[in-house]
Amino acid sequence: MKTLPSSLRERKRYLAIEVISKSDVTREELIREIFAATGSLYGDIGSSECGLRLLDFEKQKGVIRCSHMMTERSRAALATINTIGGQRAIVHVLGISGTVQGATQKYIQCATISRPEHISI
Amino acid sequence: MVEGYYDLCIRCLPEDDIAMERLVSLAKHLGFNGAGIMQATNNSKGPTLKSRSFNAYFDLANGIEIYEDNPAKLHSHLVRYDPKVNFVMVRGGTDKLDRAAVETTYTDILSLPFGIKGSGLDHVIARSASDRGIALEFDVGSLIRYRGGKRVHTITELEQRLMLARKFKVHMVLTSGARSIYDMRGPRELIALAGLFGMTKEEAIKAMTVTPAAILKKRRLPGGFIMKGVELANERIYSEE
Repeated sequence: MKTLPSSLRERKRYLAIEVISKSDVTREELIREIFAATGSLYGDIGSSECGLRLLDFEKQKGVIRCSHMMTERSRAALATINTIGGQRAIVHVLGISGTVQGATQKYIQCATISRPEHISI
Repeated sequence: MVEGYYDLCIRCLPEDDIAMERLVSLAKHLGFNGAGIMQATNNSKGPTLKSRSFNAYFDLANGIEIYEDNPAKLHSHLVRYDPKVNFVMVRGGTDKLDRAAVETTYTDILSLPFGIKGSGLDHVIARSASDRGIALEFDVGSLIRYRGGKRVHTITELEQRLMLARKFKVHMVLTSGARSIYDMRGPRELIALAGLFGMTKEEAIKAMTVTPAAILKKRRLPGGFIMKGVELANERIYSEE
């Protein structure tokens, strides 16, 4: 299958996120929680409209791709996540950008690193 | 006072100064400029109303949430706690209690529980609250904590309250209602969650900035005031005369 030309591709937005929790969470656990949260809040149809996809996740920070009209909905769905892999956690959106590079450079590399052990109960 | 986003209803009381520091650092990291720590009167230990150190970069306010089933006793609670805290919130429930709460001048915020049959915000309470400048709490924490049917009912109730608040021009306060630091969410997340029940971005921003700041300003005495009605006169004026 050929890649669609850029004019025909669906527009996307990239959410730079960080996970605040007592101990580190794995990529698989985060993906499971993201889909559980969106599925619970919007159902299958709403989830597919959001088009969430975890692109990169390392050291509690990552980039999530979503549809460009669904940024607020995606943010709300991520805010409803309260446990990841059985432990309490917060998914905090650091910022939204139009490119992966923008999201990474602006929000992940420049962000002050929040050490999870320092904000645990 | 620091201008910016406020989460007025954090319902967890940190045990020590270290836990408090963690809470403040997390709130700052999430993007808040101020927060209100709520203590409930039905707490088994009773509320500890010690004053907290005022941080120039973060506005930490003390609040009290009054739980009282008997509307006749509500007034005595309000008179007792009013001078000791920065703001007073009354937890509603029954119609009589809600009406008693919005008929006093001591109440700053009215908080209504979810899922209680035959209770909630009606046009009478909304009008009274609007007349007396009492704000209505929109706790989006229930959208975070609940799943399934309970969340569906919560969204429906919040939609109904928003409709009445808009119609009667009741002040709104958007809060996370956090029971622990892991229930806290950033201002942009709270705006997105408020959008789920139809609150616009402008309304949500006002409910986290202007309204909380006005509530806190009402009780804080401006510079020069020693107590209500007593201002320290400028000595220079008298010396010149």
